[in-house]
This record gives sequence, C-alpha cells and structure tokens, in this order.
Amino acid sequence: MSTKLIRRALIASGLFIGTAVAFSPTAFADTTGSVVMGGSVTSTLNLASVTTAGATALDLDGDGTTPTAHIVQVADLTIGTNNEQGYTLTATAGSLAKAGGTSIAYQVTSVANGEAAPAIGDFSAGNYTVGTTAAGETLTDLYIKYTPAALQDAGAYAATITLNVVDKT
Amino acid sequence: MKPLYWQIVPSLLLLLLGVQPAFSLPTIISSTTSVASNLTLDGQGSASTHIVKVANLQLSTDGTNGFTLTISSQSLTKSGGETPIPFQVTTVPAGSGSPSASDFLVSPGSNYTVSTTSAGSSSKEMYIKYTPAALQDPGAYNTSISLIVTDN
Repeated sequence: MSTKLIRRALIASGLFIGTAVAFSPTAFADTTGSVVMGGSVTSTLNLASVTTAGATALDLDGDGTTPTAHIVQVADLTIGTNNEQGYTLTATAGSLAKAGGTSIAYQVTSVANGEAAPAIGDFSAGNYTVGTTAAGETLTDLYIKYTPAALQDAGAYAATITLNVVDKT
Repeated sequence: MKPLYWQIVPSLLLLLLGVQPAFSLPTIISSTTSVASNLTLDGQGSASTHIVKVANLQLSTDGTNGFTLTISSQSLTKSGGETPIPFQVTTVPAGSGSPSASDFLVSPGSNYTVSTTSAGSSSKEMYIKYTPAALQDPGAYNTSISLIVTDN
C-alpha cells in the first residue's frame, strides 16, 4: 500500500513537471508593448532672382549734374519655405566700381511685390536683412539707392549683389 | 511510528504545485514594421492622407471573458513639441487588408480599444492614419505608441 502511494505521487509529479516546461514561452510576451514610429520633413527653402532691365542700364549722371539720389528696382525675388518660423534674406550693400575710378556706393532695401518704390529714408547703411515669420512663399522687389558725384570718372561701372536666405530657428 | 513516505508525499506535491502559476495573464507580442520608422510626412508644398501599417500584433489570454487591448494615440512630434502631426489608430484581423479612411473612428489623442469575449489567441495588424500640413515644419518627427492588454 505504501509503494502504491509513492508511485501515484511520482506519476502526479511527473505530470506537473511536464506542464511547467510547456508554459515557458519561446518569445517574450508581456501585458504591454510599444511601437516606435517616425519620419522626417526636409526644408523647401528656395530663392529665385530675376534681374530687371533697368539694373544693367543705371543712370550714373557724373557729367556735371547736381548729385541726386537714384532709387532703382534691380530684381524680382521669389522666396519660399515650409519652415514654420519663416526665413531671413540678406542682401549685400557695396559699390559700383570701375578700375582706376572712384566707386559709387549703393544701399539696398526691398518692398513687397507691386508696392510703390521706397523713399530715401527707407535705406540704411550696411548689408540689408529682412525676414518673414511664417511658412509660405513671398514675392519681393529689390531696390538700390546711389548718388553719383557731380563729376564722375567716365567709363563702365559694375557691381554684384549677393543674396542669401536661411530658415529661421 | 509514522512511515516516512507520509511526510515525503505531501511535501512533494506542495513543491510541484507551486510551479504552476496561480492565475493567467493576457499577453501581447508586437513587432513594428520597417515602414513605421520611415513615414512619409509630405510638407513640401502639398500633403495627402496616409494609411500605414505600423505593427503586427499577437494577443492571447486564458481569461474566460477574453481581453481588451488599449492603444494610445498622441501625435508625431519634433523634439521641441511644436507643429505636431496627430494620427488615428485602428486594428484589423491579420490578413484582411488595409482599412479605409472611414474605418478610423477614434479621434486623435483618445485611446483606441478592441476586445474579445472568450479565451484564445488572435493576430491583428495595427494601422495609423495621418495628414501632414501642406507646409510642414522641417525636421525629424517621432513618437511611441503604448499598447496594454488586460483581461476582461
């Protein structure tokens, strides 16, 4: 009778052991999980500049005329970005120069496309910067102001304005 | 004098009974799809609605009343948290194809739930639906969706 009892106990224990082994999972399973997702958006910052006809035919006086400030539109700009904070445009000021002659300094400013030309007081010294505060595309007219001397050295004068746009942070 | 086996047998049984779990828990195994980490976010002048499978799910429970799966849906965000892209979540039985836009019934930011009513296993596919802005702030966006399964 005692051996029967032990035999039954051992058989029952064998079943329990077998079941315990079957419970262990091959992959880790839990009551929670997580899915990590992501993607990226590239900036669409872009700048296009079209020089006006008047920019390459500037009236430089210099033939005894009383010095007068000239305000001339030199370019049509199209600037766009998807950056939520907008962009900053920088345009360099400088001088119309001629080898062996005194250069004619110019200043730069801009107005929205189609608006009236800026006044003398709208220009200031140094490189010109202007910006937007939202994503989108803007059309801008770029102007320069210059005042030749009464007697300006004869010849051809030239200059290049450098334009730069960056996304605001 | 009590025979020794009377003491041995009960202790053997107690020891082995302790190995079996006292109660069963529901389980979930989720595997993220490769496209989930490379979502198309448009935002460069135009945008459209995207429906994307982000995970395959294996769920099971021994609970007699089945399980409830709860999925959070927040937004895809940049590190600064600005300009989030909200998304909606839904699941379909594995192999039943992509859901349509009208199958996403839970608003972004609310929890999506799906339940079963009896013990057993099921395989599901998890989808998200999102529409970026036409001009979306540039940068890297990401988020982590939490899934919790509980017995009913």
